Order: sequence, then structure tokens, then C-alpha cells
Amino acid sequence: MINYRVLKKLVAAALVGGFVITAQAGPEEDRQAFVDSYKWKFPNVPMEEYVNGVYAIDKVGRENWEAIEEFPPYEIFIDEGLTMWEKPFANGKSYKDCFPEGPGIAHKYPHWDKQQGMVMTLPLALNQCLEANGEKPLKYKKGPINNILSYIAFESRGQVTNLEIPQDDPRAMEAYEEGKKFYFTRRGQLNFSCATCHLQNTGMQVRTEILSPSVGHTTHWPVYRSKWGTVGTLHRRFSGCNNNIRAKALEAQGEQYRNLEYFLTSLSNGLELNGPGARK
Amino acid sequence: MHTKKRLSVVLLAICLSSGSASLIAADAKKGDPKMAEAQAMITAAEEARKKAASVDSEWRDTGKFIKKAQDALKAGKTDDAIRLAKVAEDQGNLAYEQGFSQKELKLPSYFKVKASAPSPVSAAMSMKAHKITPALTSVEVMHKGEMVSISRTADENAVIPKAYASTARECPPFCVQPMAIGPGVDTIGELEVLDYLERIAKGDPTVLVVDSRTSDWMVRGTVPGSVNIPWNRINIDLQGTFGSQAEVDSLDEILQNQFHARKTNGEWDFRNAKTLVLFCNGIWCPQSTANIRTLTKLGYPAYKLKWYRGGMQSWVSAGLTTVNN
Amino acid sequence: MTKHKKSLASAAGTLALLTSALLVIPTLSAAEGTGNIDKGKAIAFGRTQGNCVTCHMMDDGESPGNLGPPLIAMKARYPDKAKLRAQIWDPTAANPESAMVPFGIYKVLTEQEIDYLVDYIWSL
Repeated sequence: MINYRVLKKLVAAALVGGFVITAQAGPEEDRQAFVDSYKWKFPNVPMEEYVNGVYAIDKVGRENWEAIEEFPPYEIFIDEGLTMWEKPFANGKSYKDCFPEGPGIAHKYPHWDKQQGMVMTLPLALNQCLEANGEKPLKYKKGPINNILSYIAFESRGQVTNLEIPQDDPRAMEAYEEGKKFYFTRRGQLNFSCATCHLQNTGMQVRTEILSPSVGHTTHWPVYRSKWGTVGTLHRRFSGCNNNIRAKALEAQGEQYRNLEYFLTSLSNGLELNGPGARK
Repeated sequence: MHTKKRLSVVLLAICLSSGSASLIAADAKKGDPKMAEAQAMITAAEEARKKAASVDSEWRDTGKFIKKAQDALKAGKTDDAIRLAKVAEDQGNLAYEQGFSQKELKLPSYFKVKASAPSPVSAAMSMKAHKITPALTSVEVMHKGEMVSISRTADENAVIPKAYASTARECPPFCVQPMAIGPGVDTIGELEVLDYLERIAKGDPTVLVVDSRTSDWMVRGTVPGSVNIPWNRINIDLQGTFGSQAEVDSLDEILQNQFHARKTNGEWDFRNAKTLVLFCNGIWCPQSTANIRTLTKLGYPAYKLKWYRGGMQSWVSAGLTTVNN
Repeated sequence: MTKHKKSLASAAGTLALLTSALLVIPTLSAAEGTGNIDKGKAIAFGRTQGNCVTCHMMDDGESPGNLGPPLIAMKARYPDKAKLRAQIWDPTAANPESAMVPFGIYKVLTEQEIDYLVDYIWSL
């Protein structure tokens, strides 16, 4: 027998929103907040287009970019990378021994490494492989690391970003939160946070450049940047951005940039990898 | 005699105008106060730079200015060295404030996270939330960028957390606090706190609700919408004495960056300072009262200080919502 | 010997005063000189200084950005020149989420440069 008067009271109470427990919000809710923000600004851009970064929202830039992609400037780097992948180390082993699944592994990074208690990125894993085999580690911004990263990125095209933060190690969520905090912190003499350009003012123009959305930022690295005249890494770009706002760049593959990469990759969950990329 | 004077003036003019500092440098012995001043400024600049770096906030050019100052000093150009060192020191201090003021992540308003829909279980529980007053069922606040609804539990099995159930507490330090702790400072209760929280949620920037406890207590549960400023950052001990300059600086930062007091010529100006609601663990907790005493001693207007005497023990006894971050 | 040193010191002192007086730009009157406006325009367009066109459409600036409002009809928008100066000095005072550089409080520009800059911007 339904007592409608009581039911009405209960429904009214529920509508008032009397949650007894704290409402839950985590990485997926964060990602959705970003996506909602961009969708509101760019209602006609489909989700899968975000992997193309600024070219998802910059029509003019896109035309030039599509022309460049006819003869991709990063091709030689992929070839060099293949050579590196195949070449044995001095001790007879090679990258294949560290990464038995082959080069199509970019989507497995970054991930939380419970044993080492840190965010593990692909460049870091590559260098740990080299050091374990008595080889000299590679520099993290310029140089040959970009060759092997280009090769791995190319072989990983089509894989889907799927960063899951493990529940069994609270340090992993801490790393995510640190990366998120970094993203929203104002830095440099010019006082910008990543969010200022890539969330608050996405789509707006700074001189002739259109500000790109953060969703999709991590799918296409390493990148051939015309400004660099070569391929460079994500952490090189972090350093460049920090320099641009007159903040002292932090260490490439240091804790702060790795945590930031962890946060940013989570924002791109569900998007396909399409590296290496080409940009102005 | 006069010719000699004129000659030396002309010589000086030539040297200065040609940009050569050699004549000055010759006079700039190690004991020259300007050299010492320049060196001291460079040292201070490097300290400031390191401070900024310690909060990951160093600016791009600070190190370069310090290097330029050192080079100028080596060349005997003490005025340049002092000027460049001053630029670097200012940068270091400003960068440090920038980093320090953002230590607690405050998400901007354009980042709107929707908490995920409550599970059916919590929805059922929410339908049974008890009223706070006959006219009030809940208050919506923002806590660390997320919306939280403060209401009263209707869970028949809910009890006070163990930490608050103990009735045997040593004094000192856990002495029973008086009802009024200073002339002009209002002692307030839950409803007044909720009022202030609602004002903040509606965008009033002139109010701050402060959890005065150290973070290990705070993570066990705090008032949603409050900001954690541990009491030992405003007082170092319960007598209110500071152990070091760093501690004074820490209080300075809180007063300026979080409470919006202004310091001009070493004097505090509290005209635009926020109204603060301070609380800690309960009627036996001395932390928030120590803070309030320190603040009033510094000149913080009493009418801008509110003391929620009941604190967390009273809050949870009423079954009100808490958050753990 | 002492006499020589004394005269050197005083001469150096006088010359130092003179040279520093030349280096320090003397404070100007409130009246707008076209000299100030020209100096202000150079600061506005200086890439390491105001660099305003990066975010604002203004004057004859090429390829302006659009993060901020166009800088026109400034006297109508800021009848009180001091408020314009305050906005340039610390834009986060009026809007904590401002995307504008805090030119004064973070010493991107000197106080003198800001004075010239305000003269120029207010004239737009």
C-alpha cells in the first residue's frame, strides 16, 4: 500500500539533494568536465577529432597541416627509430628483450609503477632498458630518443588511450592529483597556468596561434615541430611552454613533468594514438 | 691646488663618460662598503631564488640576473651589480609568493566538475536526511572544486567517531575553553557557521571558514567549505612566540595571501581583511583560540573574528556532513 | 693627499649625481606630452615588454590576438585613468581568474614604463 503523502515528502527531500555521503568525483569526472567545456565551445567537433590537437578546431591551420602530412617530415625519424630498435646492444641483447611485445606499446605508457613508486613513462622505460644493458642513456628532449619514440609511436597508431589509476596504491592517485594541481597552478613571471590557455581560453587566438584543447594533447607525441626543425618530445614541449611564460623549466622526465603527463594522458582516455605528429 | 682639483674632475668625467670603471675599480678595494653591499645583495638574491625553486615556482630569468650581477661585481661595476641583484631578489620573492599562495589547490570557476550520480543506496539514504532546523534541510557548498551538500545523517546506526568519543583528556593542552575568548570576538554555533558557508558558496569573497587543525586531524573529517590553515602556521606555540624568521614569514604570507591583510611600511592594514571563522576539535581544543589571540594581538579587528567553539566534536555530534580532504 | 681624495670624492659625487640624473627619467607632469604617448606605444608593441597585440586588437597592430577586448574608446571604458593603470598593474585584483599578465606587481614593466604605457593606451 503506497502512502503517497510520505512518498511525496521523500521525493521532495531527495530533490533538495540531501546526500549523506560526499559526492564522488575522480579522474573520469575531471575528463568529462574538460570535454563538456570544449563541446560547449566547439559543438560540431566530434570526439575522435581531438587527437589532431589544434587542427580539430583551426580550419585554416588544418589545410596547411594536411598538405604537410602528404610528405610527413617525421618519416626519416621513424626509419632511424626502426634501425635503433633492431640494432643489438654491446652485450648482444636489444630493445626487443626489454619489450617482448614489440614496438606497438605506446598506449601502455604512462602507467603507475608500484615497485618503483613512480609514474613510468615510455622514455624513462627506454632508458632503464639501456642502463640495465650497460648502454648510455639517451637525452630526454633532443636527439636520438626522438627516433625510437617516433618508431614506437608509429607502430602504436590505432591503440586507444586507457590510463587506469590503480586502486591498490594510493600513491598513484596522489601522482594524478599532483599532475592535476600542476596543470591548474599559475607559474612564471607572466603568471599563466596550463589551464589559462588550454582550458579557459581554448580556441582563442594569441597573435596568429589558436590555443589547443588539452583533451587529445598526449596522443600524437613525439612531434615534428617546424619551429624546432626536428622531432621533439612531450617533455621538451613542457619546457618550452614553461619558458614562454617566463617560468624556469623543470627537469625533463623529472617527477613534476611525469605526474603532469599522467594527468594529461588520463584526460585523453578513449582517444586513439596517432603519433608521431607534425606541427608548426 | 685648484688646477689639481679641476684636473681630477676632468679625469673623472672622461673615465665615467667613456664607460670605464677602472678609476672607480681602483678605489673599490675589498673593504669598500659598496662591494660588500653588492655581495650581500647577490647572496640575498640567491636565497630568494632558492626559496622560489623550493616551491617549484622559480622564474626563467632570475638565475640569469644573478649571473649578470656576479659578472658586474667581478668587473667592479658595483652599482650595476646591486641593481641586477635587486631585480633577481624581487623575482625570487615574487615567485615564491606565487608558488606558496597556491600550495592548496584551488580549482578555477571555469572548471566545472559534476560529481557522479549517487548510487541507488545513497539516494535512498538521502531521502531520509533529517532536517537541520525546521526550515533548513541542507546547505550546498564548494569544497576543493567539488559541490558538497551539507545535511544531517538519518542513518539510525550512525555514532560519533571514536576520536571524539573519548572523555578523558589531559590539560594542558586539552583544557576546557571559556565561552568568550576576547572582547568583540563572537562565539558562534553550527547555524552561524552554515550561514557563513552559504555566503561563501554564493560568491562572497570577504569570508573564510578556517579549520585550524593540523592536516592529520583534518583528513579524518572536516567541515565542507572550510580551508585548512594548521594552527602551528599562525602560532608556533600556545604562548604565541615565534621560533624563527621563517615562521614570522609564514604568518605574513597567510595574512596577506589568504586573509587579504595588507602591509604598508611594516604596519598591518586590516581594512579589507576577510572575516574569519576559526574552529578546531572542540571545547577542549586550544588551537583556534591561540590563533585568535595572536591575530588580535597583531591588530586583526575583533569583529572580523568568529570562534566556532563547538568545533568538530559538536559538528559530528549533530550528524552534519564532513569531507576528508 | 687628504685634500686630493676629498676633491675626488666630491667631484665623483657631483658627477654621479649628474649621470644618475640623466639615467633616471625625471617625473613628468600630468599633462599628456606626445613624447609620452610615443614612448608608451613603443612599450606596448615591444615583444619583451607590453606585447599587448598578442591578446588585444589595437591601433595599427598586425595579427592581433583576441583573448582580451579590443583597445578602443578607452576613455569611455575607463573614465578614471587610475583604474586603467590599476588594471594593467594587477589585473587579478579585479578578476582573480584573469588571463592578463600582472605587469606591475610582477615587475614585467617598471613603474615608469607603466606610466608611459597608460598614457598611450588611454589615448586609444
